[in-house]
Amino acid sequence: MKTLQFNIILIILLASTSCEKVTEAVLPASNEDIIVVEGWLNADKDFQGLRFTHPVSLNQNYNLASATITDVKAYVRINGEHLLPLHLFPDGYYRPLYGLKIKADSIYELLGTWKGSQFYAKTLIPDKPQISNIDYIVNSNDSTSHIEVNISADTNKVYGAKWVILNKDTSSQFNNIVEYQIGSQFNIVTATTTDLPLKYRSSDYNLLTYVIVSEIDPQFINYFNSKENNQISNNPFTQANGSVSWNVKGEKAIGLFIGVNESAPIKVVRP
Amino acid sequence: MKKTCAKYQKIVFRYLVLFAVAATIQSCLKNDTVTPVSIGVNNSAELLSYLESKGDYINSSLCPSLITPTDLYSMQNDVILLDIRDSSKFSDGHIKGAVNLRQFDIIPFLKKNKIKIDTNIVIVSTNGQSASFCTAGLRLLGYQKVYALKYGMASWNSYFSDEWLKAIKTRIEYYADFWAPPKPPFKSLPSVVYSNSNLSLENKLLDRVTNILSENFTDDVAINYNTTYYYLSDGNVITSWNSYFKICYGNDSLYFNQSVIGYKTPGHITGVYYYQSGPVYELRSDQKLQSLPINNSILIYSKDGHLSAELTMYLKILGYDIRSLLFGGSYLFYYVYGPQKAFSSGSINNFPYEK
Repeated sequence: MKTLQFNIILIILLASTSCEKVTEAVLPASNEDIIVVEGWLNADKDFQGLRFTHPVSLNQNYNLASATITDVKAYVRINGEHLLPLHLFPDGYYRPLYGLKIKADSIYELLGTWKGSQFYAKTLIPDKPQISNIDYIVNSNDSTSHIEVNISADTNKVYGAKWVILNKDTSSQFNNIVEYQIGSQFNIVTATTTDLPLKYRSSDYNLLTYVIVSEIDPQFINYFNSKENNQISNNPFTQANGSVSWNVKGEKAIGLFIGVNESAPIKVVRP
Repeated sequence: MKKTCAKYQKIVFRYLVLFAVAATIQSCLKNDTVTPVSIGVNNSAELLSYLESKGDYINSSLCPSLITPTDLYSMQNDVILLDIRDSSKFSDGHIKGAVNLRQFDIIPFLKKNKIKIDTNIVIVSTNGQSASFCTAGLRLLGYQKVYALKYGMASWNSYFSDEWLKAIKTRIEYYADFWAPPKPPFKSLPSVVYSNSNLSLENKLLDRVTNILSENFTDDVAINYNTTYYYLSDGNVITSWNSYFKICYGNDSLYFNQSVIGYKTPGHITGVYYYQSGPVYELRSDQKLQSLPINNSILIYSKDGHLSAELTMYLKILGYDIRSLLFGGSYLFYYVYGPQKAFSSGSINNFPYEK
C-alpha cells in the first residue's frame, strides 16, 4: 500500500515538473527571439498601425528603425470575418494597404506569424466614455495640481485621463486606471491625471487647460498595474518580458493590442 | 495508537495528492502564456497579402491591361506576340511574328526563353477575353508590360470579327432596375490547395497561376448563336444563370438605368450584385471582397469582358469558383448601351495578317 502511495505521488510530481520543463523550453533564448507588439486602436480615427520590434533593454536608447522587425506576416481581423493583411510602411508601422478606420463596438483581432511561430491578440473597441463631472484639484499646500474626472462606468471597461494644454502639450501617461466597483454610487468612478507641470500652473493657461478621458479595453488594467509594480519607464516597449501582463499571446511574442475610445478634449474650469 | 497513526497518514496522503494535482494544474496553466497559438488564417490570405505587397495590380488603374490594334501595329517588331488561339485558327490567319501556343504553355515559354519581366508582351486571342485572363496571370506574377490585344483578332482585321459582331447584335436585354441589392455578409476567404505547400509565397503564386492557366478559359463561341444563351468563359453555354452569384463589375453607367435623367444606360437584371470598379475598387480587401460566396459559383460581367476576365484570374488565384460572362454588358445590353461604349464596326481595323 505504501509503495502504491509513493508511486502515485511520484507520478504526479513528475507530471508537475514536466509541465515546468515545457515552459522553460519554449521561452525565447534571447531578446532577439522576442517580438514586441505595440498597437493602440483608437475609435473613430484612422488606424496608425502596429509596431513590431525587438525588445530593447531599459538602459538603451530606443531606436525604432533599428528595432523594427521587417519580416512579420500579420493580419487584422474585424468582427470575426473581415481579414486585412498588414504591410510594413516606410514609417516603421504595419497597417492595411488602404488604411483603416477603427469602429467602436467592434472586435479586432491580431493574427501574426514570425520566425515560424504565431501570435494572437484580441480587443474590443469601447464606446465613448460617459463623463459626469470634472474638477481641477490643487493640493493643500498648493504645491501640485491635477484633474479629477468622474465617469459613469461600464462593468467591462476601464478608464484613464490625461491633461491637455490646448495646441501645446499633452500628458504622456495616465496617472491611474480605474474600473467599475461593485456598490459604487451610480457606477461612478474617478480617474485622475498626472500632476500638471509647474509651468502650466500659471493663470496664463487657465483657458487652455483641457482633459481627455479614455474608455479602454479592460485587458489594459492588468498591463498598467503590472507595469506600475514592476517597471518605471515612460515607454512600455523598451523592456523585455519581465512580469508585465501583456495581452498579445504567443510563444515568442509580448505586447499590447488595445482598443480605446477617447473623448474630445474637455475644457477644465480652473479657479 | 497504530490506528490513529494510520488515520493521520491517510489524511496527510490525501492532502499530498490534492497539493500535487493543484501544482500540476497551476504549472500547466502558467504554460498557457507561452503556448503557441493557432491563428487559423486560410491559405488564400497569404496570397492576398503577397499580391497586395506587390502593388495590388488588379485593383489599380493599370487593369485591364490592353493594347489597341493601332498601337500594336506601330510597335509590332518590339514585342513578343503570343497568339493563344487553337492551331487551326492560327493557321487560318495570324499577325506577323506571332508565336502560337496554348494558355498553359505561356509560362514554360517565358521561362525557357528567359524573358525578362520588363519585356513587352502582347497576348492575342479570338475575341480578347482569354488574352486578358492570361495577361492578368502574368501581371500578377510580376511581368510589368503584358497586354491583351483589345477585342482580340476581331479588332485586327474584319476577317476575324464575326463572333464579336454577332455578339453585339443578337441579344437585347433591358432592365429598368434602379436598385442594387445589399451585398451579403462577409465570409472567410476560400482555402486553396498547392501542389507543394513548402514552396515560397512567390512560387505558391506561380503554382496557382500555372494550374489555373491549364484550366479551360475560352472566348471562342464558334457555334450558332442563340439569343437565349449565355456564353461562359469555361466553355459552357447556359440558358439560365439563376444558380450563379451574379456580379456586375463596372461603374454606375453599366449597372443603373439612368434613362430618367436622359442617359442611355442599361440597368441590370434583378438579383445581380453591383461591385464598383475603379476608383472605388469594391473587390479590394478593405472593401467588399469577402462578401463573395465561397460555396457558390460566381458569374461576373464587365463592360466588354476584358476586365471581368482579369478579375476571374485574380479571384481564381484566391480560390473562388468563378467564370466570366463572355462579351459582358456589350452582349447583354448592346442596344441601349450604344456602340460608343463597346465593340462596334468602328473598332475593326484592316491590318495585314499572314496565313
